[in-house]
Formats: sequence, C-alpha cells, structure tokens
Amino acid sequence: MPDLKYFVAVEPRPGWPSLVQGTLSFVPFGLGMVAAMAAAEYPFEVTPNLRLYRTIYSAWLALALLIPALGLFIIRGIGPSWWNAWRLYWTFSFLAYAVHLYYAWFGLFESQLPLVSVHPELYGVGKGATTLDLVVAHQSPPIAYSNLVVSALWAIDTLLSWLIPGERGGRGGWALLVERWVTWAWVLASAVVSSVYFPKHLVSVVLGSAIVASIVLSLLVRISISILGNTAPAVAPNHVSAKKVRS
Amino acid sequence: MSNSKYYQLWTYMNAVAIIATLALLVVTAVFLYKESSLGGGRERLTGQAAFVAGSIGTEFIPLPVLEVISDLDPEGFPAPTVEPKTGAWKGGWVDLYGFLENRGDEETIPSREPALKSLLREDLRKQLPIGFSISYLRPTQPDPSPVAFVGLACAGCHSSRLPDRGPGGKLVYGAGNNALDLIGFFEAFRGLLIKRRYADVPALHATLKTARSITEGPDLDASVDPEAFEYVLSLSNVERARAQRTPPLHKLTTAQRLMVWYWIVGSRTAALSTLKKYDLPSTPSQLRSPAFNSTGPGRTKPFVTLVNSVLDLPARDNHGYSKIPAVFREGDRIWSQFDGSVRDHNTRSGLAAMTSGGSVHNLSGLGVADHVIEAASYTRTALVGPRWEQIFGQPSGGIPPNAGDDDESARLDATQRIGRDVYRKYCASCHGRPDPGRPNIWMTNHRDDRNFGKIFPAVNPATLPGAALSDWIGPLNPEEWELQHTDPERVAFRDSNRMPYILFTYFDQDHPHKSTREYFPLAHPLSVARDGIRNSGGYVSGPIDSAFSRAPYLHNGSVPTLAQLINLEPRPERFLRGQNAYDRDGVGLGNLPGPGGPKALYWMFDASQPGNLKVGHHYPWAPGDPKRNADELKALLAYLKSL
Repeated sequence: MPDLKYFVAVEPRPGWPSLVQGTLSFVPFGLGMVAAMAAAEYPFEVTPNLRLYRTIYSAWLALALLIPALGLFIIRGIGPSWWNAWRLYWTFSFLAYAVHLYYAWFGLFESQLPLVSVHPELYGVGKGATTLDLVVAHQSPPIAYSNLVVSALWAIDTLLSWLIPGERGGRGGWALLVERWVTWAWVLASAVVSSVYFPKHLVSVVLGSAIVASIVLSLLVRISISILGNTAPAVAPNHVSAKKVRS
Repeated sequence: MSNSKYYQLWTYMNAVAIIATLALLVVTAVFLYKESSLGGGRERLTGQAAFVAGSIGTEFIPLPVLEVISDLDPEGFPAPTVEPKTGAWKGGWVDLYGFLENRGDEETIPSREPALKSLLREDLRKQLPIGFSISYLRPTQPDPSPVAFVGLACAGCHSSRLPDRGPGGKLVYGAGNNALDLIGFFEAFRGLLIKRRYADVPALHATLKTARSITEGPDLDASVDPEAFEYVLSLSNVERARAQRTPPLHKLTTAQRLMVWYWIVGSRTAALSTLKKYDLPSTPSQLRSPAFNSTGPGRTKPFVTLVNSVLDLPARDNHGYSKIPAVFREGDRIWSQFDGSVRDHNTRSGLAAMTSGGSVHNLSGLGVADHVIEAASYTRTALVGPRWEQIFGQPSGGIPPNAGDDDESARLDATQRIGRDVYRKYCASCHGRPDPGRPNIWMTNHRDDRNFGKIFPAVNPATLPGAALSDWIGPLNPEEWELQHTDPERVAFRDSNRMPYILFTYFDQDHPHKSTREYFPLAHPLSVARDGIRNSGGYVSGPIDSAFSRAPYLHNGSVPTLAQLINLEPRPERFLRGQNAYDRDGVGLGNLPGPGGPKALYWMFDASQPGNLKVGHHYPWAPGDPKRNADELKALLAYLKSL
C-alpha cells in the first residue's frame, strides 16, 4: 500500500527558484507569448482575426505550460526544486491563461457590446446585456460560471504560492492545502474538458492529451517513490529550505 | 576551462536568455498597445450613410495604393482625371469599369440625408467613385489598420445614374449599376497583384518596360534574365509613384509602410496560391470579350464567389449570372434574391458582401456587421425607386404628375388606364400592384394577387416529383412551364443543392458538420436559420415598382427593354452592354452607346450562351400567340412607365 502522505504532504521549503529554473519556465512562456501574439498577425488560418486567434494561441500556450505545471504539482513535495519548478510553471501558465481570458472577455465578447446593444436578438440575449450575459449565452451557465470560478481560484492560488511559502506545515495550514488541491483539480478538469472533450483544433487535443499523460507520469513517479521510500532527490545548490530560513 | 568558469558562462547564458525574452515581451507589449490604439471599425454609420459609404467588409486595397494605381498599371487602370473643384476622380479606370464618378453636391434620389452629405463633402470619400467606402480595417479581418483601406459599400453596385451616365443623369441610390463591370475590375486587380515588369531599363529591352502579365514574362526572350523582372506592385514602386506626383502625395508613416508591405505580400501570396483554382487573370483587353469575361457589365456571378470561397472549388462551369439588381422596397419581399433563396435581409446583405470580398470574420465585427444590418434595414424600410417624372422631368403619360394628387386613376391618361387593366389581368397576380390611393405603397396581399412572392420553377417540376416547394406557383402544366420558365443556370448549377446547407453551417457557430476551416466562436450577427436559406429551384415573383429603372430585365439581364419583355418587340439575340443610352420608347437599355464613353468599353451580350437565355416569362402573350393584342401591349407599356 503506497504511503498516502506523499500525495498531500508538502514541506514548506520553497526558497527562491534557481536561474536555470527561471530560464526553463520564463523563456518558454515569453517566447511562446510573443509567438502567440505575432502568429495571429500571420494568415495561417483561412481568415486572420487578431482577437480570436490571440485568444486561441494564448490558450494553447497556457495548455502547453500546464503540462509540466499540473504534473509537477503531484511531485512538488519531493524537494524545494520541484516545488519551485511547479510554482514557476503554475505561475506562467496562469499568466498565459490571463492573456487568453483578456482577449476572450474584452476582445471577443465585450467588443461586440455596441452591436449587441442595438440587436440583442441576434446574440440570444436581452436588452441591456452585459459582457457576462454574452459569455453565459455563448458558453451556457454551468461552463461560464465554472470558468469564472476557476479563473479566480487560479489567480488566488498563484498569488498565495508566492506569498505563503508552504502548505500544511506553513502559515496556510490545511485550508491552503485544500484550496490548492481544489484549484489544481478544477484547473485540470477545465483544461482537459475544454481541449479534449470540446476540441476546436487538433493542437488543443494534443495538448490536452499531453496534460493527461503528464498527470499519469507524475502519479507513477509519486507512487514509485512512496513504495521505494526514496524522497530526497538532489536539491539545487542555491536553494535554501524554509526550515533553514526559519532557523 | 574550470568548472566555475563553465558555471559562470552558464549563468550568463541564462541571464541573457531571460533578459532577451523580457525585451521581446516588452516590444510585443508596445506593439500590441500601438495596434490597439488604431481606429479599426469605430465608424458607425446608419441608414442611408451606411448604404452609400459604410464599410461592409469588402476592403481590398490601401488608399495610398489606389491613389497611384494608374502609375503602377496604366494598362489595367487608365489614369482618371481629377475634377478641379471637388477633387473627384473621373474618366480613366473609373469609367472603364463602369463606376460612377462623384459629382459633389448633385441631386440624388432619394435626397442625400444630412449625415451623408457632410460625410461626402468632408471625407476622403469625396474623391472616390460613388459607393466606395473607406475604413481603417484590414481586408477580410475585423482588425485595425494604420492605413486607410478602400472597399465597396452597397451603393458601389446598387446605384446608377438615370436615364444614363451623361451630365443630365440623376444619381439613384438603390438602382442596379447596369454598366458596372465588377468581375472585370477585380480580374484586373488580381492581374495587378501578380504582374511583373523588367526591372532594368537597357535600351535593348525597352519594349519590356511596360507591365506585363506573367504569361508574357521572361520566357519569351531567352536573353532576358528572369531575375530581372520585378513585381509591378511593390512598396518601393508605390512610394516612388507617390513621390513623383505633382505635387507629391503625402509620405507614408513607418506603420503605414509596414501595413502596405504586409498587404502586398499577403495579397500576392493569396493570388499566386489560388492560380490553380482561378487560372490566370484575363488581361484588360480580354476583359471586354465574352470569351474571357462571360459575365460582362451590370452582372455578377454570385455563386461562383461562394463556390470559390466556401467550397474551395473553381466553379469554371458555373453560369449562374445575375444582373446587379435594384434594391427598392426590399421589405415587400418575404424571400430575398432573384431566386427567393434567403429569407433574412441581413443575411442576404451579408452574403452579397461575401461575394465581394467579405469574410465570416470581418462580417461579424463592429464597423461592418452594423453597416450591413443598417444598410439592409435602409433597403427594407426607406429605399424607394424613382418615378418616371423624377428622372425625365415630364409625366409618363399625358397627365402632369401633380394633377391627381394621390389618386392613381387621376394620374393616368386614357392609354395607361387601359394598360392598367391589362396589368391587373395578366401581371398583378404575380407582381402585386400599387395601392391606388397611396402610390408609394405596393400592395403585397391583394386578394387577387395569389402568386405574389411565390416561386416560378426554373427546373422542370416533372423531374422533381414530390420535391416541389410549398410556395412554388402551381399547379403548372408541362406546356405552360415549358413556355414560361426562364434561364435555369442560376438555380440549377452543380453545387446548387448543397450550397444552402453549406452557407447555413458557414455562419453557424457550433455546427458539428462545418465544412470549412472557419471557426467563429460567437453567435454570428448574420447567421441564418436552417429554414431561412434554400435552393428554391426558380425565381421569385416580386414587386416591380419603378419598373423603368430596373432595366435590363429578367434575372440575367437578357432582355434590354420592357417592350421586349412583354413581347411588344422581339427580344434581341445579341446586344451591346456597357454604358448604354436609355431607350424611353422601349423603356430600358438602348442598343447604342450612351454619352459615357467610347465604343471600346462595350461588351456583346449573346443570348444563346449558357446562363444568358432570354426565354420564358411570355406574359401577357407569347410572340406567336393568336390572342396577342399589340394595342393592349402598348397600353401596358405606357402603364408600366407610371409604376
């Protein structure tokens, strides 16, 4: 029987990420974001549409960064490096998602409001409809509100990951751990459902599948560690554990 | 190198990567901010202004390029002259392709509303032909541009000068421009995109200095280096042409240069990549020959564009011609288009914009979708055709126009009253009738007019047992159908049966069987219900108010005059199309050049060619019918002038 503590127990030893970790997470994010914004200018598609394709490409980038982020979450307790790696990918995937959300909310939906205000019947909404009404009409209430909740949770959790260095053993206590697991599960479900269950493009299906694969892989690693009892992989030299900081 | 040096180098490399990425992000952010501050589709015109000058997503060329298009390709786009007073372009390519020059504050029908008047007086549009739009939107995109792009508004096709294009012609909004060679214009434009000329100018190759089509390229002369040929349309050539004007035209900003370059590259790539589908563009001299341009002036091939863009097929054998129609009183039509194939007027206008270059994306955007909807509303509720006396300055019959007030009988002379009886007996059941007490109202539900708004099948009903539409006129016996049906090409082309479904899915946001790669995430403002688009198999019988301004007649424009349509005179086998003079006696297009231009601008219409058939619609009587009464036909013609 695997030791379940490895699935929930995370020692508060985040420290600061190493430069290499920063490079490995920030550079893909940065270059990916530049590519996502610039690619929309180029007519890869039948008809270019900046706001739409920036929405799509930034979503792809968020999915791509979620592949390590969601997987690393499961094994973030191995050591400070893993925890930091998770935090970095979690943060940058959220930033990519925030750009996606910005273009979707303001670029696609809110930009139509002047037309919606004159012809609400064409969009299936009532008079005086807001951006939220438009989003709900398009996505259906369960999906729209779920997306809003997961966006808020993800933002809060990302912030907390930088403000509170640890989970069960830290200042956040069990509440933080629960919040983190709920957020992780909700983000995971949203990402997989939107990319695999409601696929718009082969790329999103591939990315969604890769997320599932990364989860499976991480679980296997975690289970094998719990069975073998090896919980102390090498830690990068510039990491200072939270214990040391406190002492 | 020691380990610590490797480590130091590795650290530097990481730092450089992070800083470089950060710098790229900052540059991108600045670019996005600048881009978002561009104008885009912020102009929102309403009513008549939207119809005449509003962008409907047909942007095709940057204004700075259009301003020097004649310098780049004088063969395809002869230089227009500039009217000193107004700065408007006239003659040259404006005339060659049948556009209407802007004549400043001229009298129009209906009158220009104040918003449109000030727009046309103050805006850059004042120099462009009637119905050209200017926006800061990119072609096919709902995205902003730093440079103004030019497109065609509804009035670009649906406006005409009546009775002709001479100095006395009155600008009528909503009338079909029967001289507009739209296909020819865009073929010439496609030619410009891929045209090349010899870049060097050695005396030996002086003859090659002029622009050529790529079929006349370097292969003709083995001594010429193929690499020495350059595209006629390039940013440097555009800038050079602008600088060489007297006085020089304004310099482009960096952002504008970037946009023009981007447009040139994108448009040329698209033109070259679709050559297999469209074939090489015809040369300007070929465009006046039916062998190369089978559509000719005053007509379009609406389904060819849709087959091209939606089905991605060449549609070479599609002969579904349609005259550019008048769009008066569209609200009286339950089903739009000649074939009654689209119920919703917004969708109808959106599809028309698509055939002129709009896309599913830009047709959804602000500054486009709202113009389409506004313009459609204008044609539905406010746009009424002119009366005879408004154009010719004298009554159609013997009675002065104000003699009878609103009473139709009082405005008709004795002959016209006879003609009205003939009309009511033979025509009104399909076309409806004017309200005798309210001449501006067309009666669409008179109890005797049971076939108004119904479809006369152009495909043989006997070949479609059980497939007839409920609003087909009927029951028809085979002999009557054989005699009365008109050219079927517009509704019986190869892809006609699947086209409605494809177009339905095209605008439908979530359709699982979407056949194109287009993805549109929102409810599209121009979407259509599945039962709102169809292949009707025939042509709809609609109102014919202002009948004299709708020439030529039948959906394919195969009958030049009303006299020929009612078989008072024989229908011609061949006749000239272009800038025709108006035939007041026959009521329609005269077979003579009008005052607009030289004979070289004319095109021979051959009614024996596929899609051009002048058959059918033999009402009241076929030419050989023993019951045919010439006097009654003359009276009918006189009455039709009064509508």
